[in-house]
Amino acid sequence: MTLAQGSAAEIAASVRSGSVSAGDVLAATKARIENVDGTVKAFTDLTLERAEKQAQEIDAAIAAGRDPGPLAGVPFAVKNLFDIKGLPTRAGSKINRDRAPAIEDAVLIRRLTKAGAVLIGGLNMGEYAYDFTGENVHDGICRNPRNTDHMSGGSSSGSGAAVAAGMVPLALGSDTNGSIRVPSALCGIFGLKPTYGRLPRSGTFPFCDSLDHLGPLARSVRDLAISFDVMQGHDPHDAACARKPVLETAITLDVGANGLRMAVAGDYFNRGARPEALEAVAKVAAALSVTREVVIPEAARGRAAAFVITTSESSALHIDRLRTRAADFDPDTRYRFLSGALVPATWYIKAQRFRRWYHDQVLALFKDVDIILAPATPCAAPQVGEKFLTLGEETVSLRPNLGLFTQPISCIGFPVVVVPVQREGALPLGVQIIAAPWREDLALRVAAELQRLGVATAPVATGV
Amino acid sequence: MNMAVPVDLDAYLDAASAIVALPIAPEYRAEVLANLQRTAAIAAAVLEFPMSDEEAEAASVFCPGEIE
Repeated sequence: MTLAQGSAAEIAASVRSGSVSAGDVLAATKARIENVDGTVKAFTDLTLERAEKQAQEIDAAIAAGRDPGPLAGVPFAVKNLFDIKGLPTRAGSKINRDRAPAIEDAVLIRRLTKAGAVLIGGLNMGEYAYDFTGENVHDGICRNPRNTDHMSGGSSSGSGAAVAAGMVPLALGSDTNGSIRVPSALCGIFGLKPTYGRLPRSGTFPFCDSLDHLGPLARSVRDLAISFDVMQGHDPHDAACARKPVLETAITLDVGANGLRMAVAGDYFNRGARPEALEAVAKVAAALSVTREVVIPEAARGRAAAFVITTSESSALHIDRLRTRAADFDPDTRYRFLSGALVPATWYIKAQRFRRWYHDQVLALFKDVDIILAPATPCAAPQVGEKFLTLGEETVSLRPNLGLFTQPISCIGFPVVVVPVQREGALPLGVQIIAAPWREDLALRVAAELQRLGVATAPVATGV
Repeated sequence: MNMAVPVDLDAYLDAASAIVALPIAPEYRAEVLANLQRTAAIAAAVLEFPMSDEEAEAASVFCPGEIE
């Protein structure tokens, strides 16, 4: 195992057994970041001083025979909308740099730290999370480590790129309309968007309260599961956080996909994609012997509802900043935030009512199926700066269409694992493994089976 | 376009920006208007979807359910 490029589970096992020190892991992590991040631009902040201190504490605990935690020595980094003690939470913006430094870490950072993981820094993201491309005018373009001429995807751009480039084995991101799943797919790694309300968002800068989710990105399904397991639990500072018992997912990973009722999403999810995106779904379906097709009813309207809710809530959140500092917004988000502030309440409320109806329809569908497979994005990573997407003879606007297949699912909060399908001589594609609410364990089991079969893999990118 | 969507979004933009006290600078106006038109077209799909009074519960406080 190359220290900086092992999985979180491998690193933790090595550190816990004493075969490598947390200090050695940190040194290797720093070296990898120094080598590649000048090109990739995944990190916006490094927190190496606290990382050194924590690594020393972990090594001292091991020397003293104390348990350093299940994730001992595992380097991780977070999208820069997570509060990091001592830093202003910039959320990809210029404006937020004027905020007071955070007085404590976000809850999920605290939970990972308690488990022994070592925070390395904050990661690049699209401004205020309103992005699918990874392009940010303030912090620079976050590039795809598998081909740096191409987009990382967003808005958790740095999270996808840092993991794919082997800078860290684990990163946290947020997903409102696809912002974990799109960069996971485009960078060719695994990502988990849990059920809405599962992981507390306390201590993170919001985008759209009704739709914001947090979750992990990694190069192995086990790493998603072990980090997800230690991050669960109610927190009173997030009103949407559900009072659910912890669902242990790592212990059921090896059960596999046998016995699960699985289907491919047809209709809406069969259209508007390049052939290779549908081929990736077909490859996954074939590996799992899935032949059934189901239709997620009114998915297009579900996406429309998510769009209206997002633009209304996010613009209301930012309206004071729009009034006083419009010129300081990224030009790619400014016009959308300004326009969203003018959306009438009747549109927003109808979207929320429709969302309830749509949720009930899709929930009913899951009485007869455990897992639904769908493409994550309509195409592999486009070139940086590309504005349009060609689908057959049709040309559509690229930016919104990167979320074509993710948005109808996050609209109703169902959990999804994105699995990466690598391609010889071409950039990877992602497939969504969608489960019923609160059944992240089933999606993770199927993803683990695909990784075991070699159909879904996330090697460290070698191009950088 | 759905009847529920104001047809003259050009005039609507000025009125709405005045009522929410958010002046739109001239250099941003064209792209804001274009985006508002896009939003109206997208919202129309939701607005035209028939729903009864019994389906009035909004999902603004939202907790996904469980399989029975």
